[in-house]
Order: sequence, then structure tokens, then C-alpha cells
Amino acid sequence: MRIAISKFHDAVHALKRGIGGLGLLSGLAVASLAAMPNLASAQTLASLPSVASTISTTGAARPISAWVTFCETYASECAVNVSEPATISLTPGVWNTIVSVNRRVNKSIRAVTDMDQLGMADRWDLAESGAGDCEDFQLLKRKLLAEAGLPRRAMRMTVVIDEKGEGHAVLTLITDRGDLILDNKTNSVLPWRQTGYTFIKRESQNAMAWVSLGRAASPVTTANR
Amino acid sequence: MTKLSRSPAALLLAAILPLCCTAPASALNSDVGALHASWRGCLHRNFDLQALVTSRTLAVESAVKSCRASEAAYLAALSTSPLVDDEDVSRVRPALIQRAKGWLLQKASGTRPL
Repeated sequence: MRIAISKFHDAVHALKRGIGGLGLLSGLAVASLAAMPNLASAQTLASLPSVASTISTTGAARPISAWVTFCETYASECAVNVSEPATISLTPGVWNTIVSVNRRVNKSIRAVTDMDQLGMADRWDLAESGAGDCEDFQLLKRKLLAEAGLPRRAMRMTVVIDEKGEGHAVLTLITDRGDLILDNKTNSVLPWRQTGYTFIKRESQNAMAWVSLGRAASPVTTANR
Repeated sequence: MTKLSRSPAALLLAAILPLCCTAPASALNSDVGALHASWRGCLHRNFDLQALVTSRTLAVESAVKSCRASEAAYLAALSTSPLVDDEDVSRVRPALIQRAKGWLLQKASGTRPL
């Protein structure tokens, strides 16, 4: 299914309007539900585990070359402001915004490999063409969530090994309810332990760099999801 | 072109060719996925055979040992895939082995005692 670029931009603008209209930091959860009535049904904040679980970092990791190139082009997307909160406080309003952005971006962007689209193995961008692969979905989600007021520092691009044994990019939200994963393979926002992925590395919260996640396999084996 | 003028070009070509042909190619995710499936298939086949004659935990260990070649092929491809490098693979290998053992044990859980 190919989505026309104009349709995609309309969708993104509508999403931005919806998110912007929420006044996220003021916690207007009711407005969120009213603006996007079809998005609030599936997942609730209460469904998250009561005990917050975070992925431990173990040291420096080598950055991905396509990420370095991305950061040269989109410097503000990679900049780390250490004065920002390192953790997202999950209110119902923030939760609804996260769920809706995750779902809308997953629905709006056409999944295609960089090789098929651009003839190269890996390129990171914001899916401006309306199509992209895993990291492009997550970068766009982060941009939209940051524009909605969430601290970019608490939203870290992350590399995992997926159920097919392949490298895969997801977005980790570091929250006061634990580390949550946004993924283009599912509309569910999952605690990292429930993904079934093996966690490899993610962007640092303190510098434009990457940190390793050590031996961090999430215990759930959703091998065939 | 004289023999003299061809010589530097030939030297240049000789210098470039080995570089182009020995540089590690970037593995596509589809290649990595296929090698992972192959490793997984090897593990399951070996496990199924070994589980007939020994305990499941021993069968798991035996399967992992028997499938080292396909494991190595998978990890080599993974280490040249776009998002993952050789350092990542070295660090995370124990977790990947552990995950594979989990699949095998899950598959057979309840059928035989550990």
C-alpha cells in the first residue's frame, strides 16, 4: 500500500495539530481523548507493570555510521540537553499522547527497506518521503513527541536483535514507570521486558554518543511475533 | 598508450582491487534473517535427536555445540549488518545463545523431565 506524500504530510500535520492542541505539559488528558477518540481505547496507563523496570547500561558503544550522518544533517535531533529531565513522568495525558503518536506514525509511514527505497544499506531520516524503515519510524515519533513537550533526553534510539535475529531499531522512552518501547512492528507500547528482544545499545542520555546495554535480553520469548 | 604510461595505471589498479574486494560487505537484513533461521533449524534438529536419548538440558547443550558453524555464520553476518557491529556481537553473544536455549526448552516443556 503506497501512501501519497501529500496524504502523509496531511496525516503528520493533523497529528501535530492534535498533539499540539493537547497542551501536553498541562496534562490535558480529556482533551487528548476528545481530539483522538479512536486512539485511546486499546492500552491504558494502568496496564503497565506496577514495578518499573529499566535497562541497565554498561559502557560506551560504537555509534552507527548512518546515525553519525543523520546527526550531521539533523543536528537538533541528536543534540542532548542535560538540563532536560532524564525521565518522562507518565500522566494519563502523556500516556495517551505516546500511544497515539506511536499508532499514527506506524499507520502513516510505509515500511520499506533503505535498499529498496534508496539503493543503500542504511540511511537514517525522518521518513519525509512517506516511507522508511524501522529507525525512520522511531525518529519521526521522537520528533513529534519532543514537539509535544516530552524531553528528548528521555527518548533514546535503541538497537535490538528482533525475533528474526536481525538488527532492529526501536525508541526507548525512559519513564517513571520503567523503560517503554515504541516499535513500528506493534502499536502496543511495551515495557522493555515484554518485547522479547535482545537489547544491544542505545543513545546516551548525557552526550551525543551511544552506550551498550550489555547482556540485556528481555525474558519474554515472543519469537514469532 | 605506451608500456611506460600503462605501468602507473596498472599499479594503481593493483592497489585498488584488493581494497575493493576484501573490504567487508554490509550484510542485508534478509541475509542475516536467513542465516538466523538456518542456525535455529540446526538447533531444533539436533535438539530433537538428542532429546530422544538424553535429558532436555543436555540435549540443549549438545545442540548448541553441534551448531557452532551455523551460529558463527549468523553472527558474522549480523556483525556486518547496518545497525550492529562486531563489538556488539561479541558482547551480546551470550544473551543470544541464552535466548536460543530458551526456545528449545520452551518447545519441549512438559514433554520430558529436565
